[in-house]
Amino acid sequence: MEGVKKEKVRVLLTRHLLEGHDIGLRTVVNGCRESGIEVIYYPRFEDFSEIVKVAEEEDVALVGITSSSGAHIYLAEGVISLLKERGMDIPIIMGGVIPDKDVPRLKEIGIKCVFGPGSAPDEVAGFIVENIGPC
Amino acid sequence: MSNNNNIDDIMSAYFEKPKRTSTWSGFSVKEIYSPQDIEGTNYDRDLANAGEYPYTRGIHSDMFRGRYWTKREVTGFGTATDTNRRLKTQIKEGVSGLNVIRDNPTNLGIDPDHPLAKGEVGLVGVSLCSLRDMEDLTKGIAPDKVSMSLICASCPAIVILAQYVLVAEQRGIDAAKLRGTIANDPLHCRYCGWRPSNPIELSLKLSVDIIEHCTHHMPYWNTAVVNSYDLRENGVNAAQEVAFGLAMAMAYINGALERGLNIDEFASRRAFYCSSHIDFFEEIAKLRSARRMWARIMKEKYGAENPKSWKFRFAVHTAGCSLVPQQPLNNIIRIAYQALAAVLAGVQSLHSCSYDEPIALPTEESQRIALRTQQILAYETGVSSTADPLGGSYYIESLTNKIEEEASKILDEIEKMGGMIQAMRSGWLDHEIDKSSLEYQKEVERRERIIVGVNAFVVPPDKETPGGVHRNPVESEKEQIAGVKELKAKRDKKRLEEAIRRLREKAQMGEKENLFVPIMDSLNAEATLGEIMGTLREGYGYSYDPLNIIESPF
Repeated sequence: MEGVKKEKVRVLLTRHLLEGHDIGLRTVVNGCRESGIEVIYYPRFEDFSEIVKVAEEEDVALVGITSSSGAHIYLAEGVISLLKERGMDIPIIMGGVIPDKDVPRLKEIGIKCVFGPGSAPDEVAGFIVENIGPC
Repeated sequence: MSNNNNIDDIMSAYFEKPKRTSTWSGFSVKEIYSPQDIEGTNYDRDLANAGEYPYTRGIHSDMFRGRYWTKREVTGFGTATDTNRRLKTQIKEGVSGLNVIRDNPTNLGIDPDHPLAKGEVGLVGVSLCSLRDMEDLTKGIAPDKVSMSLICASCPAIVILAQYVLVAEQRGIDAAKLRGTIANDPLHCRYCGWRPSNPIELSLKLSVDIIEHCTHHMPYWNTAVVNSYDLRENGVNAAQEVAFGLAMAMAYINGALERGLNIDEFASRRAFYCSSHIDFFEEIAKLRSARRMWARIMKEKYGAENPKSWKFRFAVHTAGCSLVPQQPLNNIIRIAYQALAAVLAGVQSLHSCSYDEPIALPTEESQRIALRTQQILAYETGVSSTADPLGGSYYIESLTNKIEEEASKILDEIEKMGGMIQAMRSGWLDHEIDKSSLEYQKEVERRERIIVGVNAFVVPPDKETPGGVHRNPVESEKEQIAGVKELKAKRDKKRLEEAIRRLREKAQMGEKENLFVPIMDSLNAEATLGEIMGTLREGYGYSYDPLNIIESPF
């Protein structure tokens, strides 16, 4: 789609099947939509290939994954390595209950930005608008 | 209502008055309350002394003078051995009961070696896959000497309780002597972010199996707990928490009555798991109103005759969602107020959160502070010396009436729909929860609710969480998965297959066939939680695997 300016930036927001917490994610979904971002809300993915498949099919510009159970490193490694394997370059952001100490490791793995506990939905929307594209 | 950035700000802070005068659930609050505000309230009919119907002032006449509330701290991570170690630390620190929470795969009813469990085994709770896990969990902890609360509210509650009973029996302890609680509320789980693992009918059936079995065999066991706490955490208000909680409890009671139990046989072993949120008086009033409403529902609607059946017995979990990661030590203060509200409301059992819960599972140190919060309340403040010390306060009584009025309206609406199960099926409940949680968030963003450190009095974040962050033992998941694989390879296949075959047969015999004993038999034959749940699902015509990945090995 190079050269075609999209009117709205489209993103995928999701969480793992076994992740119990969703209130934060749903709040971010609402916040992004109110900021004019088109959100594909995919409540539960089973495995990493499912994220990649939905991201491709829906042609999203960014994927956001929430994790509040402590599985963030595992999830980050899984999804980034699959993207690399397929030669894809979709920016991934993460949010949820993620200790600050783990942020450098997540960045090293290839996560673009981490919205830990206490982040406002506006911050996520702001990041997307600034870094990904027009709304 | 913000940081003072220059000298002029201090004067506006000096003259500042509260912007929000309504409660957190939106009830308007007057400047002062007087006898007029409780006109029409009749002491004997509407309040009565503690220990007397309708129990507005408490369920025991002597309240904490007879016995303190049970001091518990929810615990669970890694393998059963990891959690056992933490439980023993808690016992040394002075808890008066234990409270164990399971991980997400266990909650869903799948084994740790399920292809989709990886990454989640032992993360947010302990993995309880086999009888061996329950043995490890309770090693050195005598089941007849401790009150054990098992949080496994979704589908596998029946398997977890059967594990616990078997471990007690192996140690020569009669199940009739066991004291504790099973969080047996599979319906509420559908609203707490977890993927529903069993259809509503099967969930309800297994829940009633537990009630029926315990009614006949475990007189001291709390057979069913409705978890309105989790609903509150998802953003509903105080009146909704009361109404939804009571309506869910009624759904289970209807199920048990349909099974053929008599209301007075089982109603007295029901309990509730409530939130204590940050609006101090509102929470006290909420719990008092729930107590009065429940007594009337049980007596008038269900015709229960035993006073024990009328009593709203409840545990409180202080509101995790009110805690924030910014300036986390402030959470200790929030938790203390919430715990105080619970105690002033006459709580039976209390979990006070740890200050680091918005960041990770609690550390040993943060959990100690949480327990000390309860101990300071119990031993230093004097608040436990008399029953319902706030009873008769014009404000508290007026607010208790208001919450009851609002909650009754919601209950009527649910009843008109045909009860809670219908309200769930139609999507009404989802809609109500979503609406309230969005409103809550909006009010925070509009600064109509002030949260210190979040939208007021913000300071640059600490580099490190004070007290450090809990880390799960790195090898626990691998160990647990390997352990389950080993168990599956080594057990007596013939004996196992026979037990599973019988379990399947029983599951096919219809809703009234109680599956508790066949589940115990399967556990004795070393069947795992996932295998038992899968077989039950098949017996009821569903796929073996709730995630539709694996096939039954039998």
